[in-house]
Amino acid sequence: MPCIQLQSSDGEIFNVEFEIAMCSFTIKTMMVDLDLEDNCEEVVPLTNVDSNILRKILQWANYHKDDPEANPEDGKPVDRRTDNICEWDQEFMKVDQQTLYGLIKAANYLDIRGLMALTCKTVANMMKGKTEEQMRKMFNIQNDLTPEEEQQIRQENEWCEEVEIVAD
Amino acid sequence: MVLEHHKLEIGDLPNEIQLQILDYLNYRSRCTASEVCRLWNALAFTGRFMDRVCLRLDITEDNLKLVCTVLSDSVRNYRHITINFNNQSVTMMDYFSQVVGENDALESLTLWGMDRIEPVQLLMLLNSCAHLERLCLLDEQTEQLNVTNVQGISADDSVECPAWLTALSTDSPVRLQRLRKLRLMIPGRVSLPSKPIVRKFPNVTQLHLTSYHPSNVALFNDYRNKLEKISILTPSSLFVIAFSTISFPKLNHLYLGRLELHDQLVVAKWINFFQNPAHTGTLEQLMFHPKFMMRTPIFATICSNCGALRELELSLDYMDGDALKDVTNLQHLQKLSLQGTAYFRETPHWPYQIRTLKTVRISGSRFPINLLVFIADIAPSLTNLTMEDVENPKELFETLPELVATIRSFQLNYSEGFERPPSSHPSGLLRSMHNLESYHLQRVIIKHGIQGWLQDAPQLRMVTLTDCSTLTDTHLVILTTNCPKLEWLKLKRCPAVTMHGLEEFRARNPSCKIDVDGN
Repeated sequence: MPCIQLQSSDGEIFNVEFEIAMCSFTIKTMMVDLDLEDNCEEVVPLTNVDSNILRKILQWANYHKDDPEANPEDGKPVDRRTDNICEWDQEFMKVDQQTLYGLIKAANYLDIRGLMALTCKTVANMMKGKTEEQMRKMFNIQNDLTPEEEQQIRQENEWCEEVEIVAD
Repeated sequence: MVLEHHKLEIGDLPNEIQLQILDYLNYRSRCTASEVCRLWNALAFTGRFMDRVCLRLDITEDNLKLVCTVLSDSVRNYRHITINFNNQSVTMMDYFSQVVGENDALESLTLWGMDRIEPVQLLMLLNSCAHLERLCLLDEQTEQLNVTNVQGISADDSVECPAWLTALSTDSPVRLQRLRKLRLMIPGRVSLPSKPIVRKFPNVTQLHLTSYHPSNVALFNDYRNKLEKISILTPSSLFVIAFSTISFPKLNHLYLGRLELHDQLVVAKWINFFQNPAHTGTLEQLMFHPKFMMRTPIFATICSNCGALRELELSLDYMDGDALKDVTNLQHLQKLSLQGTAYFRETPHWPYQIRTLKTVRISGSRFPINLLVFIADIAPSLTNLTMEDVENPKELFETLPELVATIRSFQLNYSEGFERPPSSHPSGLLRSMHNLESYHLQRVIIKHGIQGWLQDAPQLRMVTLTDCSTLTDTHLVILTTNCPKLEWLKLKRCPAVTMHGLEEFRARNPSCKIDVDGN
C-alpha cells in the first residue's frame, strides 16, 4: 500500500496510506501540482494542523475511506439535514468545543468536505432549540447588541416569514 | 505564550465558516441566532437563505415610522417584500420608498390595500425598486387571498378603476427593465391603456390579468412576442374574439379560469386559438377551466394540436366521460389533473396509452372510480396519485389497490369544507400496494383494528398525516414494526398523539426524521 508522510505543525510525522490522504482536496491538489504522486520520500508539511487534530482526522478518514466521493456539482439539492449523522460519527464527535473548532478549521484548510459537513452539522445541532441567551452562554459569545438593536432585530424577525420558493 | 493558552472558540472561526454552520439551521433557529450578536445578525439572513424569507409589512398610521426606522437600520437584503397599506394614506412615502429600495436584491414585490395611495406615490415606490423582477398589484377586494398563489383568484365585476392604478396609465420615467412577471389583480371591467404599461415594463414575459375588458387584449398583443406565461380569468366574448387571433410564439404556460362557453362563436374562437401552430407547438402547461359546460370540440382540438403538453389541468363538470379518450393523443403528458365529475355511460377500455404520464390528481369527483378505471387504463407508468375531496371513499378503498398497483406516492386529502370526511380501516386502503414509498393522508378518520396498518407497504419511506384526529400513539408503534424503511414521518395537527408516543417512536426507529407541527 503506497504511503505518504504528513507533518503536523508541531513536527510529528504521520505515515498515511495514499488513498486515505486523498480525502483532502488540498493534499490531492498539492500532490498533483508538485508531481509527488510517485514519490513517497517527500514529507508534506501541514503548518496549520497540530498532531492531536491530525490524528483525529486520520481516524475519521480511515473509517470513511470507502464512502462514495461527494460531488457538489451533481445537481442534487444541498443536504441541509442535521439528523442524519451515523452512529460512528456521533461517537466521533463527542469532543470538547476546542477540538471541534480545531477539526472545523483543519477540515476547511484541508478541504475535506464530508468532515466539514459533519462538524458544521454538529455545531448546528448544538444551537437548535436554544434561546439566544443559551446560545451566547454555550458558545461564550459577548452580546454586543444594544437593547435598542436587540429590540429592532426581534421586531424585524417578527415581520419576516418563511416562504416556499415558487419556480417560474 | 498567550496564543498557546487561548481556547479556540466559535468566534475564532472565519465568518464564512460560521455562515456554513448557520446554513444548517432551520428557519426558527436562524431567527434566534440572529438575535445573539451583531455578526450573526448579519450572517444569519444572507445568501440563498434569503430566497426563503419574505418581509411582510402591515402598514398602519401608527407603525409607519417604526417600520422606516427598523428597515433603515437593517443589515438585511430582502428578495421578497409584501406590503399591505391597509387602505390608509401614507405621509412619508419618499422615505418609505427609499428604505424599501435599499434592498438591492429585491426581486419580488406584492402590494395591496392601496385605496388611499396616490398614483404618484406608487410610481415613487416602483421607481426606487430598480431591480424588480416580479410585481403583483392587488386590488382591495382580493386582499384575503393568499398572495403567493393568486392563480385561483376571482376578481369582482366592477368597472371602477382604483386611483392608484392610474399610475400605470401615466407616462412617467419609471422603467423597470428587469421586470419579467406582472400580476394585476384588479376589477373585472377596468380598461388598461397598453402603451404606457409596455413602456414602463418593456421586458415582461409573464402576464397575469384578472381584468377582462376587451380593450386589454391590446396589452397581450403588444407583449405577444415575449409572453411565455399567460393567465386570464373570466374573459368575456369580446375579449376572447380579439385574444384568440393573437399568436404567442413563446407561449409555454396558459391558465384560463372560469371560461364561459355558452356562445358558439366563443367556442369556435377557442378552437381557432388551439389550432394556431405558432403557440400550440411550444405550449407545455395548460390549465383549462370552463365554468359550466365542457364543450368537447375544444377539448378534442387541444388534444390533437397541443402535442408538446406536459401538464394538463382540466375542469370536467358535466363532461361526457367518453370524450376524455382524446387525451391519449397527448403522448408527452406527464401530469394530469382532473377536477369535478365526468359522466361515463359505461367504462370501456381505451386502446391508447400515455407512457410518460406519471402524476395524476383527481379532485372534487362524485364518481372517482370511473375516472380511476380510465386512468389505470391509459397510464401504465403511473407513480404518483393524489385524490382530493372525492366521494365514495369506501368503494375507492376497495378498488384502488388492484387498479393501480404501480403507484409509489399516494395522497388522500379532504379539505375543511368537505362535509363527510371518510373513515377507513387502516389496512383496507393499502392492500398489496407493494411499491408505495410515500403516503399522505389529510382529514381521514383512521379506525381501530390497527395491527395491519401499512403492513403491505414495506417500501414506505415517508408518511405524512395531517388533521388525523383519531391517530394514536399505538399507530406510531405499528408504523415502526410494519415500515422498517421509514425515513421521514410528518405529523400535523394530530391531537391524540402524545409526547410519550413520539419518544417511543424515536426510540424504536432512531434513524427516522420526525416533523411535528401544531399538536
